[in-house]
Amino acid sequence: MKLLLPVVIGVLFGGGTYLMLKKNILKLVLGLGLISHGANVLLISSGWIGAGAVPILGQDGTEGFVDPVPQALVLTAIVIGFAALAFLLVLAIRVYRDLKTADISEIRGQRG
Amino acid sequence: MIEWIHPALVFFATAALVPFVKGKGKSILLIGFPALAFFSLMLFPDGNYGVFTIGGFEVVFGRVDKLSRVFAYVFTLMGSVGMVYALHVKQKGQHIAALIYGGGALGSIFAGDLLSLFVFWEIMAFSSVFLVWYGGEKSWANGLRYLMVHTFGGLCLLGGIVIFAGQTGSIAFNAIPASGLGGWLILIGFLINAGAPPLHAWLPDAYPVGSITGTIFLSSFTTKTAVYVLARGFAGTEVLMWVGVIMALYGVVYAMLENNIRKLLAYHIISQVGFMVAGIGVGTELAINGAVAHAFAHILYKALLMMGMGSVIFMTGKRKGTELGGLYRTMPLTFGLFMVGGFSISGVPFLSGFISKSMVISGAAAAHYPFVVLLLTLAAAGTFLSTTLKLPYAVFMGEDKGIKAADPPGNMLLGMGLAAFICILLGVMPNLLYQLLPFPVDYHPYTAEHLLGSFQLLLATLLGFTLFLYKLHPENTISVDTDWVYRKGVVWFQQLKNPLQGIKVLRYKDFLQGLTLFSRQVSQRIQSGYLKHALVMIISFVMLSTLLFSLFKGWTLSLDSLMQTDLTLSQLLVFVLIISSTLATVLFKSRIAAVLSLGMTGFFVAFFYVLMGAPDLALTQYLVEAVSVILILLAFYYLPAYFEEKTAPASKMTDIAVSLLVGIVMTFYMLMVMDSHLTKSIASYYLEMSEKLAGGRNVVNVVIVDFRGFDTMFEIAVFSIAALGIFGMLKLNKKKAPIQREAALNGSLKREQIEEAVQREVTSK
Repeated sequence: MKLLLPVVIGVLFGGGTYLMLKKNILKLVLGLGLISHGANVLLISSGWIGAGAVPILGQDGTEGFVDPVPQALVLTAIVIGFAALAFLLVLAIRVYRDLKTADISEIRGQRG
Repeated sequence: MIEWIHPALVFFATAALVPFVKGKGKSILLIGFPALAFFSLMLFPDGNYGVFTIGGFEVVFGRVDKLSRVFAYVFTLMGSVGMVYALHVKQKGQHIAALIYGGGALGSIFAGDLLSLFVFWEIMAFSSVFLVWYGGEKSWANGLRYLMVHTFGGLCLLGGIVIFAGQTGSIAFNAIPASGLGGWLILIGFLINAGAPPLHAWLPDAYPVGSITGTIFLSSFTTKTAVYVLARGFAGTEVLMWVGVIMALYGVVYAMLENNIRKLLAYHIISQVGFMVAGIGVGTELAINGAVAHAFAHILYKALLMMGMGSVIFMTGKRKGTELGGLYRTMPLTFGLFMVGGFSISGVPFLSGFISKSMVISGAAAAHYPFVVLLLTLAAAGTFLSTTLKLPYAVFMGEDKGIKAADPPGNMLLGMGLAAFICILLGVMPNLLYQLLPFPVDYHPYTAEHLLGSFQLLLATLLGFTLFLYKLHPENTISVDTDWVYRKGVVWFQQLKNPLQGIKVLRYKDFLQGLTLFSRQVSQRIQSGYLKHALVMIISFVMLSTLLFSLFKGWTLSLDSLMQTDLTLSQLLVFVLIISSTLATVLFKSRIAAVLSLGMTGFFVAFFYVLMGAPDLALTQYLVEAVSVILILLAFYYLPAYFEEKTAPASKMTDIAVSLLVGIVMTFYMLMVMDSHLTKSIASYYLEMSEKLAGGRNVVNVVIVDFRGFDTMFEIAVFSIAALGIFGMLKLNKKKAPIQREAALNGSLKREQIEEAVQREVTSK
């Protein structure tokens, strides 16, 4: 667990970066999606305490739960990530419509 | 009653007032105030004035004794006479620079400690350079070299003072032993100002190009201040005697070879100062008296000579002996007055040079330095030959070049007349000068022996001159002096322009242009405009700094904890699924496959959330991921079908390298983070208070909607902004923009035009 989880995060980040470096604007969007997954997983992992119960309180005290704070943060992050994804997609569409290209390297220096 | 008025203060005050006066008021101010300073010197008895304690050191601004007083007399006198000569000058900056320069010289004279001496010393250097620069466009480089040499001398002086004060614990300016680093540095600083070879080159380099009136002040103050400080600090230092002899001969030899008329006189300054330095080096009372008297006399007759040649340049515009000749007809008064100076410097009886120069030589003789006497006499003969015979012969007599000229304006003649008058006055009444000297004088210049000796020398030289006249014709040559060192070394300085001729100070503009060019090149390299380049740079920077940070932070990986095999089968399965779906997203060549793989990744991440005890997250993730995939697929409709692209191998390698870097750094970073617990989580507070304060048992939900409610509100705000942006991008028609731009360009747009444009838009749709 401790060894493999960082590898998962590394793969998510590395794969996302690789896609972002491509020219196709759609790949940029996909890469960003992968990286946001990676960031979320990273945050959640930091709340991991080895083994823990879901932070929903029962009758017996406040011990033995996983950290609820990263979960709350990530919940926000997921939603924001969705907003960003949607925004990016529409931006890509708009760029293609106005500039007639989806190649990021061709967008340079153009004025609409 | 004011205790004492510092004459330097009078000069500085005059300089401050100059901008506000004109016409007669200016004349009165310029001549009157230095004269006032001259007479004020008589009012106050000897003593220390203006004593302050600064940082544990006693600073004495006004040490008045016979030595400082005699120099102050001649400086203030020279200030007045020089100002008379310079009255016609329109540039007030010249007057201001001259006055500050004179004030600096006076301040140095009266400084009773090394600290204030240094300050005034630097004031002198930095004000006098303007007098050089006022000489015109071509003087810029010379002035800069002048300034550099003096700055170097000032640094030597400062370093010497610091070392000396450190050793003795006192900054009082009295006799300084010429031993140890401190003493030698101070001596070198002084000698640079005195113009001792090989540190003399600044003098014949800068003075001949200075402004006509400014050179009068230049030739008066700097070297003579150096004579004063040498007399004060290093009297009787034997090395100075030989330095002085070398100066006296060196200056004469170069003067003889020189063709530029003012440069010839500049070399004579070195020669004459050599007499003084030699007298100081001899160190007996008579010799020092002689040195001081000679300084006094020299200031006046050298000023007179400079004024004479300055008048010639002023009226004819020519500076070389070869270009001049036969001017005695057109400039008779100048010629006459110049000859008074010429005979003075040669030591013709009944003129000031005689009573002072013979004193130095007698001093050396009385102290039994026959060799010094001989060499100084030789230099004296050379002086007569070059200044009094060769120079006037070339300029005033000689072949008539038919140059149209006339005597200079009245004030210049008056200045020369005043100087000549004092030369004669001192020659006839030597006691006027002798009573001012620092030591009691028992010296009679007009003995039969002296007179005879002088006449012999002069007549022999005259004979030689007439015999070898054909050899002494001025030749248009430039003699190589030590200044070629920095002339060649800093040759680019010569390209610099005079700062007084437009704003070209230190080529400031070029510096700025170079800077702009440099930064443009840098930013062109960094900001190529390609998103990819920017991304590579940003990512590399962030990753490397992250790596460095964690390394310096000393985070380490404990392999033991890594080897814990607490991996359950379900965890392993989820991890493998996430990794493989991520790779599939990256590698799939079809866009639909790639998007679906991304969706799969999201779903597997949701699985992971379940395993991590976060069911709320898992639910949200499922929902969002499903919508995302649908959204992306929807976007396909508007986007081009091509997905796979051709990338150059090199570019691909870069991509892979950067991605690997990111992956590996993140992996290790995560490993280190999981191993370290920097801060305690506030989770326990939320877990405890969730039910009590918010009445909810699902702690994550309580955190979101209650404890961190504001965060959620702003999240909604971000969401709304994104929605607005999306709406804008989809619905707002950008093609209206050109019309508005057009309108902005035209300044005003008529209503018809707008309607027409809108109409065009509508129909085109």
